[in-house]
Amino acid sequence: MAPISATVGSVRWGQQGFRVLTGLLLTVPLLFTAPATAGPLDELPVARWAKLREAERYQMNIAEKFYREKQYKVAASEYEKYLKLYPEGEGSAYAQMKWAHCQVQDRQLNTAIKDGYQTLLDYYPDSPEAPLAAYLIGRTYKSMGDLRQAKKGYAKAIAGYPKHFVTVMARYDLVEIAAKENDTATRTELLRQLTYDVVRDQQTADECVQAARLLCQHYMAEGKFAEGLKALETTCKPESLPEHLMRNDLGRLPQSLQNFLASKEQTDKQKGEQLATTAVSWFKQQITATSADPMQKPFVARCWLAIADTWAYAGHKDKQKETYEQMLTSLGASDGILGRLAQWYKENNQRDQARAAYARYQDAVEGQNQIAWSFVEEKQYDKAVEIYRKLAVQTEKQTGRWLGAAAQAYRYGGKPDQAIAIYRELLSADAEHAANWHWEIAETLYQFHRWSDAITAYRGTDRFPTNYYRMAHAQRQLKAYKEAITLYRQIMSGYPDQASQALLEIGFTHEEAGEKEPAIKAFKQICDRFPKHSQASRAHAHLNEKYKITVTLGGAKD
Amino acid sequence: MDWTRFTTRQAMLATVAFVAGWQILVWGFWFLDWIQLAGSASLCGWIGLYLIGLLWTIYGVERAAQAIEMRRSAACARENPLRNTLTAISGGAQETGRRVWNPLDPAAWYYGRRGQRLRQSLAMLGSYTILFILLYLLAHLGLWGKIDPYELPAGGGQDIIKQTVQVQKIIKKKYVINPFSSILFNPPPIDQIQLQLDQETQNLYAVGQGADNGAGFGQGTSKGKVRFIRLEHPDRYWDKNFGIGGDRNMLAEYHSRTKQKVAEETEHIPIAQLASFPPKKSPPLVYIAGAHSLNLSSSEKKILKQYLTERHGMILGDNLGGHGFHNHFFAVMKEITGVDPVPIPRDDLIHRRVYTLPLLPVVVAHGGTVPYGWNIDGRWAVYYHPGALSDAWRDDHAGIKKEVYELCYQLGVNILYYAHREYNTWLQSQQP
Repeated sequence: MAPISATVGSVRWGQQGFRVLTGLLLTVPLLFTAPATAGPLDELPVARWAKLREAERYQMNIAEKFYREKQYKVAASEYEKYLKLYPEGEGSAYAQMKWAHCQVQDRQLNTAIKDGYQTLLDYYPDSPEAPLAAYLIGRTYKSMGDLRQAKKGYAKAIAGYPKHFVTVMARYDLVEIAAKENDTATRTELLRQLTYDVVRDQQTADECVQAARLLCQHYMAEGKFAEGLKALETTCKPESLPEHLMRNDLGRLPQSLQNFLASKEQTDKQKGEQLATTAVSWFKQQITATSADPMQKPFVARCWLAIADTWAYAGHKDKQKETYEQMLTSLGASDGILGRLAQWYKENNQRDQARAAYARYQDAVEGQNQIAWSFVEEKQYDKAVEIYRKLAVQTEKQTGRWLGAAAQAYRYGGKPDQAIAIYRELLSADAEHAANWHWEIAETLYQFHRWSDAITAYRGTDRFPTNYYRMAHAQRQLKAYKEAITLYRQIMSGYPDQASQALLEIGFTHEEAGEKEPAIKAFKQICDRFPKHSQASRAHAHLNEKYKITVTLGGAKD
Repeated sequence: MDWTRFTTRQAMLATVAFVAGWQILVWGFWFLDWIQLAGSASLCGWIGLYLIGLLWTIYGVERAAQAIEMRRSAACARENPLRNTLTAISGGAQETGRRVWNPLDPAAWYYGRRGQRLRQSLAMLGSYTILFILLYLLAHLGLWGKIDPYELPAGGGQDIIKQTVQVQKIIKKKYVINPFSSILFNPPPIDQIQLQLDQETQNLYAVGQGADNGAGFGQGTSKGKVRFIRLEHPDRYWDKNFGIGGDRNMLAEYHSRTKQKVAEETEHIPIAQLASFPPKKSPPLVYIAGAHSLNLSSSEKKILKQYLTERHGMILGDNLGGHGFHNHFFAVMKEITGVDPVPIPRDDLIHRRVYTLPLLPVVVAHGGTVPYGWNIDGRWAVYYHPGALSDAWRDDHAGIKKEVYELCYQLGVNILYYAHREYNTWLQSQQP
């Protein structure tokens, strides 16, 4: 079947409207198959795709296909072909940029800068790709570790295209460089500009939001809650602020409090105390402002939890508990609050109070589950099993879950026979997941070193090749080395990507069997056949250390 | 109590206190990483020590001379009181009537007949100064054994690859023709030879390329030579592939390929010894190998930091074992250099001069297959090879293919050349 573009191209419609339509039709599948990394830096806008002539589009599509498939060398030659055939075409600057991207992927960074991005700037200075190329020069230098050149590149991009969105990206990258150079003043100034001065649109929003978060983190680390909050307010809706403040990847209030608490300096400790107090008073203000509105109840609950967490991170465990109790009074008992309170009791070694709190759960099943787990934590396995068994009876649809938990409790308690008995029970009670229970029986036998039984049990499981590895290991424990090697060989033939690991195990098995020569041969084979794998590294080191053999074979180029 | 007068005991105590205080000060500054202050304190201490030593010398010589004079004067006064008085008034030495060799005696024959005390003082000052200079040199150069300052080999210093033009003779086929044949044939003249100039683009280093004559570097000296210095550290494998049959092969290959002068043998030194090289004569490249770990003390890290940042040195790290060394090396280098490691591009200068290496050769990928570098001020201060580079330099080449070990030699040549070239450029930039 002829390609669509060829078929379309054979009909000389000659009308602009049809050309645009055809372009769009051809672009749609391309957009859907675009890699997740595709963005404004490596995409040709739809409108410009439409302006390509049929032949140009065909060539461009071929190149794009190889690029998406990560065959960068082939893609580069296809982009080059496009440039030779259509040096004045609509997509020439784009092809030039993608050619440079291919060089970057192939770790030819200097070529990408000099023959790719710089050439683009020289030959297509007015193209839409020119600002991107200017920015990418800086970024490529940065990825080469040459920060001086990177800064120059970014400065040129900012000066040359002050209104383009690459300016924002360049500034954001400069923030990172300033952090590496410990230039706090420059970093803070750049972050302020990105947070407050830059107009946020679809292309700049991500960098601005990230910058605002970094600025917030900077202020929190200095104990300046108000400034941090002001920066963070620009990144999310007001109702999300408490969560954002309490997340270390966003507002980073908890980590800042912990750092202050861990510091040996008294002034830092005071700063931490001040930060916690300010944060708590802000959360309380939010509660006061919204508590009258019943629709805001979830928000109020989140603020209360944030207060409790703030006290916890600031080292005030008593105030944390007080907050939970205040929550229960003002908001009423809920599983969430009770769970937090019970956790507090557990952390403070008051396990009976914790279980009492779990017992007050509205979701009684979950409450019992938590009680059972608390018994497991205390190594009172029989009590835990008792509860799990009761739950299995109470909730028929979840029999598998609760009996499985009971069996697991037995395993924790070192009682494999009881665990296996429950798994056998489950084979019929929860037949839908029989394969899983078979696996668990085998795993239990393996865990408790019942090698022969484990081998038999694994034979009935379907998790390849893990079961083969387990069986081979069990055979080795039984000193049945030949059988183990046979199993490893089966892995090698059935799972080529596991071959190096299996071969390494063969080497070690020969070694355990006292067969020095075949062991050495196996290790050398790994070095020779899989020099780029981590197993070759192990084999090489083992040959060097144990056998003092330096001629290990191997050798590769990458 | 008169504070302007010291007893001998007090003076000795003061001298000992001075030496102890001086050393504590120097090591304190060193520990606090105030290298400049440590250097200044060290210099001031040496000057102080010289002056104190001079005072002791004067004191000792004067006391000895006085004792000799006293003895002789007493004898002379008994024999000839008038002469004794006249000699004392003139300030000269008592004549003994025999040839005296003792330098502490002002009447020694080599001090002459007049102004003996002045001559004795000058002789003592000269001898003391020479001895002190010897002591200073011994302390600075002999602390770790003999340190040979590192000097680059003299020569060209440019890295432009000469393109060689090869003349290829293409001799046209000759036909033996029957002149009576009915077929018309125009044979070419028998000796017609077509010359075809073929440009060879292989990257061969041309001996003596560059501005000056001979292979080497512009800032080099006639005594200079390329050395391969390995650093000692606690890992068991720090010296793997050392010496003849190991890294010595690399040095020999470097010589045969670049024609630059190289040392007879490869060397290994403790890290602390790096600080003993004179400034601007320290090694452009040092080699660190290991299989499991790279545990360095804080003072060793300081020395390495100073070596990389102030002395423009370079480290070649070679992973001979696995992830243990990989992780340690990365952590230590990050701490020392203060910069993050980045993958070194395939088309970087270090992979293009002297040889163009499109791919990285590895014996076994202990730490992946990507070389990493730590870039300081636009140059590679650290090059990390993840796959047992020096294993390929051994006589047995670890049994790998010739193609790969040849690339390993080429990479070794490139790294050595890069380090020396960068060092040469830095030395040039340091000239007034």
